[in-house]
Amino acid sequence: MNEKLLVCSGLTKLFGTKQALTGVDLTVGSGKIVGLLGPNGSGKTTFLKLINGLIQPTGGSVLIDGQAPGVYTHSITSYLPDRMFLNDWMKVIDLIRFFDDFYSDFDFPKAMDMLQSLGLSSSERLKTLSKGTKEKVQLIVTMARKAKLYLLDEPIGGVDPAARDYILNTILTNYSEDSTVIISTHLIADIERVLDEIVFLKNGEMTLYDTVDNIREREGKSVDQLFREVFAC
Amino acid sequence: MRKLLKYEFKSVFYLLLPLYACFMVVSVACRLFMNIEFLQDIFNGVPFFFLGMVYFGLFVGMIAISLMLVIQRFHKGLLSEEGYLMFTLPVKPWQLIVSKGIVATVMVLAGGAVIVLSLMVLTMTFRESWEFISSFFHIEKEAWEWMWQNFPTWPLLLAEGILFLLVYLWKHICHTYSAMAFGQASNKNRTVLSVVIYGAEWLGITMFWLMLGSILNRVSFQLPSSMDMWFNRHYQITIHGLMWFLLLWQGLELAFYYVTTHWMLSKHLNLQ
Repeated sequence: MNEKLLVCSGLTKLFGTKQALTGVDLTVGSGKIVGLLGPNGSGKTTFLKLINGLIQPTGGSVLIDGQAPGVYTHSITSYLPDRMFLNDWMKVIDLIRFFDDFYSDFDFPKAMDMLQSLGLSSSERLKTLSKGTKEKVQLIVTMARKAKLYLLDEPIGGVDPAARDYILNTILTNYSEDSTVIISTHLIADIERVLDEIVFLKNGEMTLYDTVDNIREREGKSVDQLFREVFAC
Repeated sequence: MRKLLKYEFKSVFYLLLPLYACFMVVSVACRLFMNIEFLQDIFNGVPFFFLGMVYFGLFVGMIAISLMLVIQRFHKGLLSEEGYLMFTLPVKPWQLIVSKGIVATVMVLAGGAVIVLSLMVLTMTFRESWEFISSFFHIEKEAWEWMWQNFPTWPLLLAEGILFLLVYLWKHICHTYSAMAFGQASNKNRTVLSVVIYGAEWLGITMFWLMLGSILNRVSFQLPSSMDMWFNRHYQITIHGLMWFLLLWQGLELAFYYVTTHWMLSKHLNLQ
């Protein structure tokens, strides 16, 4: 059990003059499912990209299991981005083999099992799949790893409600004392039941970080209700 | 690295192999039309003309696609959506750059080889082609003796020549990578910036060599006649020295482009 799996100190990101993230201080331990919540443009995706080293911070630092983003952190982090990273020439099985080649924690039988559960064929070419199906394939390869940290950027945004339930169940079944899941979304009602902690981001600033139980007890309302109040237009 | 190369080769050659095959089939068809007169006259020569146009189109397309793929595989594979996958793999940035560079080199060389093969199909008979290829391996005995007697280090020169060609090719590939790596750091107008950086890097390096040449020219001195004689007597060392000078020159440029690419992708990656 690592109490400091993810440590962000004064994490700041500027795009030109636009402040995308401002001085985020956050420490997340192992064995948690954390909701990264905020409206569009609040900095959720920027935050996840910084953790992955896909963009560089303007200020502050990120440490995952005590190390800055790099080869080691990539080997223990499983990231589902908010866009398609698939190479269209591949078949589904090629992608699964690719992940199996590069990640020692990839569970090949589990990936095949998940494919079957979602009714997907491993021999299909990625370019022939619909957008929703591609998202499911990306989610399968992300969740078929036994990572310490899962970073899921809008994992349920583009899929049908039935698949949404399957995805949430998949996340729950991967939950262990060793791994933490950070889910970025604004579909709070759908995921509230699986969350342990939440982070509210507003205009690049972290306005709240607490457990779901504390919030319900303190505020007397659900996270979804609180979100609607805090981020009311 | 082996895994990256496997993936990269598959990404490129799934597209190129059918193109190579198509090009060779059209080359053979063109040769048939050229050899058999009555085929040329069918429908007033329209099919022959059409085939010639297809060959020309494929010829230009082969070169264009190979060059485009060098750029596209780096840009799309690392700096666009696919970069989200590649830059989250547990590999170092240099492995990503080198694997792209190796595959781009093989792609350019393979494209060149296919073009040469196609020209041989068009212009030579099977026997002539065989003789042409085997002539490289069956040099006349006298020629061998002459080479071993007068230039015994010729295998080294051959190796230096091949190395020079590779370094020269890598330099140009890395130059495009470097320009794109700088371009991606911008929040907008990335393509324009990449083109500008490409030109600026070329201009900067050319200026640097010109200035260095100018400085050396000012401090240069007349070689004593004894040195001239030494060079003439030890012409092999002189030629090898010249080759190593060229290698060093191109190698330094390659190093500059590689280091800037690596620095940008490891310290200033900006996958927005």
